Amino acid sequence: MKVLRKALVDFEPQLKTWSVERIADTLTQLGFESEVIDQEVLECTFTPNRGDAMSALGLARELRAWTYRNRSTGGAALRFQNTALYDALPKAHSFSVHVTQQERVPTYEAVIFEGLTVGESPRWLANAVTALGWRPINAIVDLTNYLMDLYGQPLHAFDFDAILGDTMTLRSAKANESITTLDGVERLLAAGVLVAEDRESIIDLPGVMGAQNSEISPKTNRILLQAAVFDRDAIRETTNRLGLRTQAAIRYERGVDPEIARSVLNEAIRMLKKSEFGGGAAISSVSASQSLPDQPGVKLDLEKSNNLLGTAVDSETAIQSLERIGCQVTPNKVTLTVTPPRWRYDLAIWQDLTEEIGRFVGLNDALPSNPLPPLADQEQPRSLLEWSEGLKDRLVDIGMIEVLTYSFVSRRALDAFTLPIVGELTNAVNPELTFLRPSLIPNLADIAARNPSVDPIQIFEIGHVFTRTDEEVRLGIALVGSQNQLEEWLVRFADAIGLDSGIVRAAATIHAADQSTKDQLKIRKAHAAFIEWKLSDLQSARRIPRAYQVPTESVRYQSVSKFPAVTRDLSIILPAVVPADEVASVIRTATESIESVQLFDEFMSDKFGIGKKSLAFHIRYSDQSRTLTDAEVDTLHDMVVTLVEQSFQAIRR
Amino acid sequence: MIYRGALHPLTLFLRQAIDGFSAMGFTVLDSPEITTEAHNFDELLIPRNHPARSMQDTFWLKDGRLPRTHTSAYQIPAMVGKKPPVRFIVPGRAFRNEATDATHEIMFMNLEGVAIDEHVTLANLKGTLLQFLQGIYGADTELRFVPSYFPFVEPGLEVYAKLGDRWLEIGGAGMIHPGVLKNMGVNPERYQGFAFGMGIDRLVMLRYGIEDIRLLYNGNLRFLEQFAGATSQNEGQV
Repeated sequence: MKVLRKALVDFEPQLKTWSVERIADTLTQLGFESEVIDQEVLECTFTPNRGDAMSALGLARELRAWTYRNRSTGGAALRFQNTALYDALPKAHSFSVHVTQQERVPTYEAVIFEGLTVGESPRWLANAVTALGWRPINAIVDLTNYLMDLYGQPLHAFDFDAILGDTMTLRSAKANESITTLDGVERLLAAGVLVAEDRESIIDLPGVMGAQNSEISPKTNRILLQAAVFDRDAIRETTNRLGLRTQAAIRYERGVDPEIARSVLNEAIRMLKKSEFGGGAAISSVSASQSLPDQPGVKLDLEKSNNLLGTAVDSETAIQSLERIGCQVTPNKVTLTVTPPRWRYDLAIWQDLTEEIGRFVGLNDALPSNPLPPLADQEQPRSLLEWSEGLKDRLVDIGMIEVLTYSFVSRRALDAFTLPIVGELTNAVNPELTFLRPSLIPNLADIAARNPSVDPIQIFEIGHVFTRTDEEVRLGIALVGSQNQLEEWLVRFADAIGLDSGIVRAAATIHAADQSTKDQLKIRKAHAAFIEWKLSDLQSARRIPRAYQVPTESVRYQSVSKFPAVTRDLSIILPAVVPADEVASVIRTATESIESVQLFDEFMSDKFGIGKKSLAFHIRYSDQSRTLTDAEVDTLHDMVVTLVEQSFQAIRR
Repeated sequence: MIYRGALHPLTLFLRQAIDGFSAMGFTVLDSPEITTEAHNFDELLIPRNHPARSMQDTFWLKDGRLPRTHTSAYQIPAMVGKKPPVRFIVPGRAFRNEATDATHEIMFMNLEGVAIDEHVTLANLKGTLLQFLQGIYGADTELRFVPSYFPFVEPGLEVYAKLGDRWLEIGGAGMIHPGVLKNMGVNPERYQGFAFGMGIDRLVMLRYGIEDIRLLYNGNLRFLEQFAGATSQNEGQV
């Protein structure tokens, strides 16, 4: 919601000297994240519990309480009350509003005007509503929007002559009733939704949107201007059923001050009298509901509040904080009885009041930062999750890259592996992500297909998979490449985690994909094998220690080219004292087109000469802006070979 | 070993996070990704039609269950068979039905934390989160609380951390609502506690300079293999 700086200053003159940035920062600090649009306009956001703040009045009230936070006196809560013009009006005698369920309409007030000429808004109003984000429509509609943003009270103007008969009834909709709302949409109403009807038809969805049949038009001469408060649950029901959430409805859902209606109508009477509005006169008032429930006091024990916050707020400060947001506070022997103001629907228990005390003493400067005391030492059972961290490190040791994939898969993926449907989203955004995954393998296969320039692909995922009623943690593996890695890998893996390879194999589900499956999966490599275990089947009694930790220095990753990469291998013989890492580092400096350098073979043998060894690397080339040609890669690779030969007295094999 | 693979950046970060909380006495719990409407919403005081529900775009399953929208869905199941004092963290996935782009994903990594005892305070929440953040980002890391609203905590707030020279919202937190304590089977007259939920993805992106969140889950191996360099052998533990 947007708010005008000037409106805030009009309510709280102390803000006159504040910059718009300071106002925005303070509102953010108070829980209303705010942004400066320009020197006169702020954009503010509201949590759903703070309907009371959704107006210039509500925000000014918060700001005013804040400005007094460190002062010992003054700062009574801002209230808006002026009903003199309204009170002077006669009650309408030939028209009435009938509310069938008072609890759904706790407040209903209206004023009838006549002699209006509905035209464009005066310039100041058109400018103001435009700045507030509304499209100017006509003087009457613009004024209702302006007053709502100013005071938080939604108003609705009916063309009074379009209301047929002498009674308007607010009741629950019956099955199969419909309405054409102001936006021209015909809406079928669910039974129970709150509606207003005249003698003939439904003329309003109260609190949400008016109907076309009673809309203000250039011909309108008389209006019924309604200021009501509807029950929050009733409006939530309507907005959720219809999927229609207007500015008025958002306020009603969150709670509108039930005591402000007459004062806001009073303001409308005052303004519409002016010649710039065509000089309409208020002729009578209609009051159909004033049924405010009792406002119970909340018992607040300040010692409990301080124990909840971890503070030592004294009772005078606490009382002042609460009074400045409009509470009535009566001290008892030990506790306080606090009666929140009607506009604060969110203050129901002592913890709510404690939050208010915390908010105004300050959650940052005034709240200490206390670590938890040590717990009595208790041996915690290690979870599967913690155990799996050590397992991940053993997988990294044998060259595996960890991936994380979605918990959902496509129908096509299920079919490719003849997996069952175990759960289906009703409102999926992406057809590829519609079914709960019954296995990790489909997503691993998909990654293998989408990384054509990586060979070999050796990846794993540890994650949840689903049955119809339950879920379990699994380890999934994909081994895809020009060589068949499966048998050798299983042995290496069993060795790495210290289990018998027969046991590891027996617990595994293994898919070695044949040509037609690979075609189906769009994997264009000679070999593709997928392995999966239920993680608890691999969990041996002994703990697998973690091997890797995060280094303190930060690692920045290089953005990956969108263009395909080409891999070339390099085998060299060089003095055994040269570390492989050093060679890899030098290779990386050769050209910016090198994406990765992987050592895949290292061994010493006298046949290379005394004190010599052989190293072999996969070197992957790519460019950020285009696909490299074979000839270009050849040139780059030759450059690398020359560099390595010169730097390390190496000989290419 | 000839060629070392790579851990996922989320694993690298979570590992450090979990170590930090373990040192403060928190146990790590695994938890289901699919939950019930009761655990995800009603027992956390977010009834149907509540405006707080429309803040979260929820996926629904045909059988009426749902992929949890937050790890807070495990707060109440986690307390079955437990009595205060308790301290636990729940790392895990959560899901939102959103259009995806460079900063929005339908799936993200959450880290939930709960501590309940007789005198666990909001100041303890601040101390715990500060200690955690300073452990990861260094002793000069600052933290800021901003009042907010989540129906299952009271007071409720958003946590901001100053990382480098910018303030970043890292999650929501607060003191567990007495109604939720009751739903946990804990006496709110005697016990109180804090809960927090942090989004890990953005912290990971910031740490490694990753500009597109989709890289975390799309299995681009040319991206993931770069994190081989982000692990260092911890000789002491092997």
